[in-house]
Amino acid sequence: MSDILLEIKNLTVSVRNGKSDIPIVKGVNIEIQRGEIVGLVGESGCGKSMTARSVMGILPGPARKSGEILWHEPDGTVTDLTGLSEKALRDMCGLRIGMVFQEPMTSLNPMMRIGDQVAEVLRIHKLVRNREEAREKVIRLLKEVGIEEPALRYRSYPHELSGGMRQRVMIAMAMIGEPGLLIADEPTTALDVTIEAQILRLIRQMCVSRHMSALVITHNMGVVSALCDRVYVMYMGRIMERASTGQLFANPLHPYTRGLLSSLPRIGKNPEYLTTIPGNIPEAGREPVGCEFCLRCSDDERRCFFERPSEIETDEGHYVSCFMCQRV
Amino acid sequence: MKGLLARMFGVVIVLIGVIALIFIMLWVIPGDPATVLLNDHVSQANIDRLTQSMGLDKSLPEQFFGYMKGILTGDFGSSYFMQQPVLSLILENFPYTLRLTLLAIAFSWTLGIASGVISAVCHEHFLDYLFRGTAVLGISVPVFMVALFLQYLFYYRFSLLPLTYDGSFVSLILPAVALGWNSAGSVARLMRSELMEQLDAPYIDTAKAKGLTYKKAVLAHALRNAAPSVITLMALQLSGMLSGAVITESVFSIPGLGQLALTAVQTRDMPLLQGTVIFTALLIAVGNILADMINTMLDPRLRTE
Amino acid sequence: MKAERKRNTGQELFRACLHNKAALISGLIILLIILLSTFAPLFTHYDETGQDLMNRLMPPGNGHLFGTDELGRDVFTRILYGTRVSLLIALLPTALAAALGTALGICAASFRGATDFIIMRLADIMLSIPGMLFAMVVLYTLGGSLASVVISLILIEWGETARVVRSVTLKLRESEFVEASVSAGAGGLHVMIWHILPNLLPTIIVLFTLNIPASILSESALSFLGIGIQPPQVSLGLMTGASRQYLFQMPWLALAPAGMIMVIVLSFHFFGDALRDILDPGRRTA
Repeated sequence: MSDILLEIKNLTVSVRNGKSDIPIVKGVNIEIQRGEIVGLVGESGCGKSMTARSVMGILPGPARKSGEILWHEPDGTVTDLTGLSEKALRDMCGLRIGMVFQEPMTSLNPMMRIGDQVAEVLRIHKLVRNREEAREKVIRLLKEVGIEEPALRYRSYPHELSGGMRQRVMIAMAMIGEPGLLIADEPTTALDVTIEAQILRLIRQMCVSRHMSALVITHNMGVVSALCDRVYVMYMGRIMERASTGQLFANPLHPYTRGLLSSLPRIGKNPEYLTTIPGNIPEAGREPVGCEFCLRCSDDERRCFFERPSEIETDEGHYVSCFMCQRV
Repeated sequence: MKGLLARMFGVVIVLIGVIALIFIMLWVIPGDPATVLLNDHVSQANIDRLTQSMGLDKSLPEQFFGYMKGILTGDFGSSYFMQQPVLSLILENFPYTLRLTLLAIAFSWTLGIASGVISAVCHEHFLDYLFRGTAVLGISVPVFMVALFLQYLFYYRFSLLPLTYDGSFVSLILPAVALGWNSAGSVARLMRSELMEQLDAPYIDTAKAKGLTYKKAVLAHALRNAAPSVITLMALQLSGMLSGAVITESVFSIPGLGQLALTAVQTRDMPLLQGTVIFTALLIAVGNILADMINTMLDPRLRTE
Repeated sequence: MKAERKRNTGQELFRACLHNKAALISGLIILLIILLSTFAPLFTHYDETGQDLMNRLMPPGNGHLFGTDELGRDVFTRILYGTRVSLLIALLPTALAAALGTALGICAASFRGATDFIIMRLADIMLSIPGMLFAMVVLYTLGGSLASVVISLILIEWGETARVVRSVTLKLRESEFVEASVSAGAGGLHVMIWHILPNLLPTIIVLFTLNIPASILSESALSFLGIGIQPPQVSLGLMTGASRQYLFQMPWLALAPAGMIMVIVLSFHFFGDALRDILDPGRRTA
């Protein structure tokens, strides 16, 4: 029996701009196993956040999505989240899927006590019978995510907490419904590096202790190596390479992945300067016909400009979409 | 709490300034008030006696401090023409203005907030355009035009409501609508833009990720965050309301503060005008402090400052 | 070179207005109103104060587009002449208040200390008296006339401009480009004229456009009550007030001048809104 939890199939998201639709996500397939932490890496604007938001149904106003997002219950029933009514989808959110956002300051309601904001999830999904029970549950979880004096902090407002603390509250909020999947959208981007490590450790811990899966959206390969079991590399709305974290770091195949990895500073290597990927992401709507990466690729050939490579498996569980890798 | 006290202190200073300003402005009028009061056939001795009894022979600072002292003990002087203490006239008229203003505020807030929220939520739909158009009409139509139009329609055409105020609640409906119409427009416009800004805020995504539907996210989260700026606007509008009350009270013959001030100007009753204007400034100061207190209660960020 | 740049921004603004539908339409209506009232004698052969007691209270028609009033004067003619007053009120006190408020706001922000305190407290004082009642005090002192109305409107409106200009100036003085200019050796006056004033301009224009409808409405209300502009001078508010007693028999007498006020206010309102959009495209206006 396969142990799939969430399956994103051929997801396309486009944003209407004047008269034309600009595709942001172009036929993305992602699978998340039960208990697995999956990373989705790419530069800002490559569509990784849109992918995550599609799952939760919180795309910004002018965006449209198509494709399937299949949720597998442990008993074998499969639901397509894109086919659910708004009401039914909201019932999934918070309960089956929790989400942590990038900006812990603005993502918390500035006018509400943090305890009440966490407890709101319990109230929405009617997980508790009364306020006392909710309060107890929230305080227990706040303590678990590493907030000291949780009973006191329950009554704090977001602006009274540090960035790291706020992100812990966000994590508690995403976890309190005991979801099967945690989606973390750049969970540490707004934080200091020292806090980043703590938060990553916390997410990892929570996933392991609750046998929970996670989809971590990041642009930082360091986060991936610290947290993820498997990685999807995304560029301009398309998955370029996917593999287990070990495989990807040991043997990156796609030129883009190699670029991402070589721009990561490493202890002991001490280079004169950091390598960067040359060029910038082309403007939306002016993308190449062929491989999306051809304009910035260092070892492209003629057909890269006219043809789009399909995905091939080079090693067990290691897939890549690149003509250059097919030759090997 | 400390901030609030500091603000109250500031308000007191401004109020003293208001009194001084109004006092000086009315003091520089050409012509001795005593001569205005008595007619031409009175002897100089009588004029002198009246001048003296009104304390008008003293220097400006002396008169001002005398007036200030009076105000602190609740003495705003006496009306020239009505032969009554100004304060008792004000307190007699104030309840009418209060009733009118409260009803107008209730009308304008209900209409303004409701249409603003609907506008924001149904962004760019038919209802949004309808309410936005109405709101623009609301802030562009002179108060007296609304008042006359309502009289024509509801008294003359449909004979539904009384023409002028007769003490009953029903006769207060038209004046309140006329007065509130204007501010309903601005409340609606601010509510719409403020709410739309809040609906774009990341915490709305969080609320939806928690499982709240859009409607509930608006009610539970966005409205509360939009409230402070709307409440501040409401306090600012109190001033406009009292200005509008002058016109509304005149059109509908309501014996309120506006009528009192208008009568004072028309009969050149200086102490009465002075007292009424100072009293309205006091009302506005109280309104601002109230708004501050409500906002401090609503917004925790203001509390810790 | 700098003067040329300034003219270019003026031209750009003009061009942007032509491209903005709301600005274009409301601007054309304003232009039409200005032309109609300025060249009023071309559009009517009546005199705005000429009484014709034989033809009192005539209904519309018979050469009188909106009929005649209680003294037999042609209402249409009087509306055209009353519009002149409304336009004067729309621009003159508003511009003077903007100038006064800007000057005082900049002074407060530049000198700080006692000057700042006094100017700002004065502004607070003005803002805490309802405009209508303050105008009544001015009119009590100076007597009802066009000049007194202009003066009272200036006194009412300068405070808010001063307050906003002061806070924007303070913000600008701390901004990087001003600091850069100062560290490059620019004097205070130079910085004020070449760096701060141009950046204040959008703010001042916004406040100016917001005050225009307010001025027109205040004047009309004061004249409506009979304490503003006095006859025989013509004012739309005064006409409405005088025609109140005929509201039910001849509603057009009161509603035509009031309607004209509405048209003027609406077009200035839309023009101001559009101008604000052009000046600050990032801001969403309702």
